[in-house]
Amino acid sequence: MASPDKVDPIHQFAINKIVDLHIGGLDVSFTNSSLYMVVTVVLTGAFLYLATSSRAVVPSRMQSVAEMSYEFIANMLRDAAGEQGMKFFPLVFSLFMFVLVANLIGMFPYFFTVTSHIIVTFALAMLVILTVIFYGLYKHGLHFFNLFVPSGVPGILLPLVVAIEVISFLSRPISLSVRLFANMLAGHITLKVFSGFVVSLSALGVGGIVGSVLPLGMAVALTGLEFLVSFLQAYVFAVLTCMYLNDAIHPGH
Amino acid sequence: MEAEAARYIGAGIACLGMGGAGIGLGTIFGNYLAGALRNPSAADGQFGRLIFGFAVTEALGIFSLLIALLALFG
Amino acid sequence: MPFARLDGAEAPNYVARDLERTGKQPAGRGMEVEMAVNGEPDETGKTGPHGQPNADPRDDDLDRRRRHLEASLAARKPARQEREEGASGVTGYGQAMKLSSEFIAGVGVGAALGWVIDRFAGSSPWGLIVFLLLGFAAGVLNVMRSVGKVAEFGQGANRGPDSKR
Repeated sequence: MASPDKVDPIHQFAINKIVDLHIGGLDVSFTNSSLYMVVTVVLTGAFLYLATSSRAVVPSRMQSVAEMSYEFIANMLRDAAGEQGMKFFPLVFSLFMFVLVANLIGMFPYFFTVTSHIIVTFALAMLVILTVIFYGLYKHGLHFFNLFVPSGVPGILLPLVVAIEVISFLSRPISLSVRLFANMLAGHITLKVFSGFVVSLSALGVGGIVGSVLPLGMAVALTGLEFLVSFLQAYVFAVLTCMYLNDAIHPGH
Repeated sequence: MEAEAARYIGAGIACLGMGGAGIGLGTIFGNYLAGALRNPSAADGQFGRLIFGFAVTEALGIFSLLIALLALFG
Repeated sequence: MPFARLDGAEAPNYVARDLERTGKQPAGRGMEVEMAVNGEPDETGKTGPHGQPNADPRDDDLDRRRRHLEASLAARKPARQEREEGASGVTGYGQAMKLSSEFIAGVGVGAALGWVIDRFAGSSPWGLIVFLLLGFAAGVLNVMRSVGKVAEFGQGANRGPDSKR
C-alpha cells in the first residue's frame, strides 16, 4: 500500500487486552475477542428470548425468524442423524447461532470478527470432535472403533487402511476449522484491500476520485458476497457437525 | 556458510519440486475439463481416472514436500 | 359385491389411463357416477349423492402420491444438499476452498503425527516419511469422500466388499 496513511489489512485482526488478568501464571485477560464473543452470545440469547417471549399462534416477524432457524437446524439434524440425533440439538443449534451471529457482527465496519482467528474455530471444531468421540465411546464402547475398520478389506492391507482412516478422522477438525477461519480471514482482507484502494485513489485528486468508483463498486459487491459467505459457512459448519454426530450415533451403519 | 542457513536454503530448493507438481495438476485438470466439455456424457465415467492422475501427480509433489520437511525438522 | 370396491382406494384404477393422466376431474367423476348408476346400489352404507364419496378416493390417491413424492424427495435431499449446497456450492471458489482444505488437512495431520511419533519414539526420519505418505492417502480419501465418490465414513462395515469403490 503506497498511501502515506498506511492501510494495513491485517490490523483489523489484532487482539488488544481490555482488562489485564493473570491467574496462576495463565494469561486470562479480557480481550476485544472475548468482548465480541460475549456480545455475540448476549445478542443471540436476547434475540431468541425476546422473539419467543410472546409465543403467539400467529407469529410476529421476529418470532417467525426464530422459529425458522429452529426448524432449519432441526430438519438438518433429523435428516443427517435421525431421530436419535435430536438430543444433540442444543449443541448444534448453539454452534450454528454462535458462528452465524459472530460472522454477521464481524460484517459491521470497525467490528472485530471472532471467527477469523483459527484458535476460536479450532476450539469449536474440537468441541464437536470430542463430543463425537466421547459420546461414541460411551454409547458403543469399543465397538465405536469399528468406524475405522471398513469391511471387505484384505487382511494384509488392513493396518494400512486403518491408519489412513484414523488420519482421515483426525483431519476432520483441522479441515472444519481451517475452512471457516480461512473464509472469514480472506474475505475480510479482500474487503479491506479494496476499501484501501478507494482511500488511496481518492487522495490522488479529481481523476483518482472518479477512478475510485471501480474499487468502491467492487467493495459493495464483495460485502454482499461476504454476507452470503457468513451464512454459508455457518451452515456448512452445522451440516458437517450433524454428519460427524451421525458417526457417533451409528458407527459402522 | 552456516549449516543452519544451508538447511533452510535446501528446504526452499526442495519446495521447487512442488511447483512441478502444480504444473502437472494444471495440465491434468485442464485436459479433463477440455475433454469433459467436448463430451460431457463421458465426463462422469472418467472421474475416477482424474482422481487417480491427481493422486499420482500430487504424490511427487508430496515427495518434495517430504524432503523439505526432513531438511527442516528431520 | 364387485362394485363395492369402486368406493375403495383403487377406484381411480378403473378410469381409463388417458383420462387419469390429464387429471380432469369432471370426466373421471362422470365416469364413476355412470358406473355406479349402471350397477346395483353399492351397499357401503353411504347415502346421499354419489359425487361426494366418489370425489374422495381420487383426492386420497392424489394425496397419497403427493406424500410419496415428498417422501422420496426428502430422502434424496440430504445427499444432494451436502454435495452441492454443503460444499458451499454457490461459488466454485467455495468448492475449491473446501476440497483443498480437506486435502491439506490430511497431509498436515499426517506430517504432524509423524513428527510427534519421531519425537517420542526417536525413530528420526522414518515416522515423518511413513505418516506423511499415509496422510497424503488420507487427504486423497477426504477429497474423494467430499465429492461423494467413496462410501462415507464407517459405512459399508456391514455391507459387501463392493461398497468401497
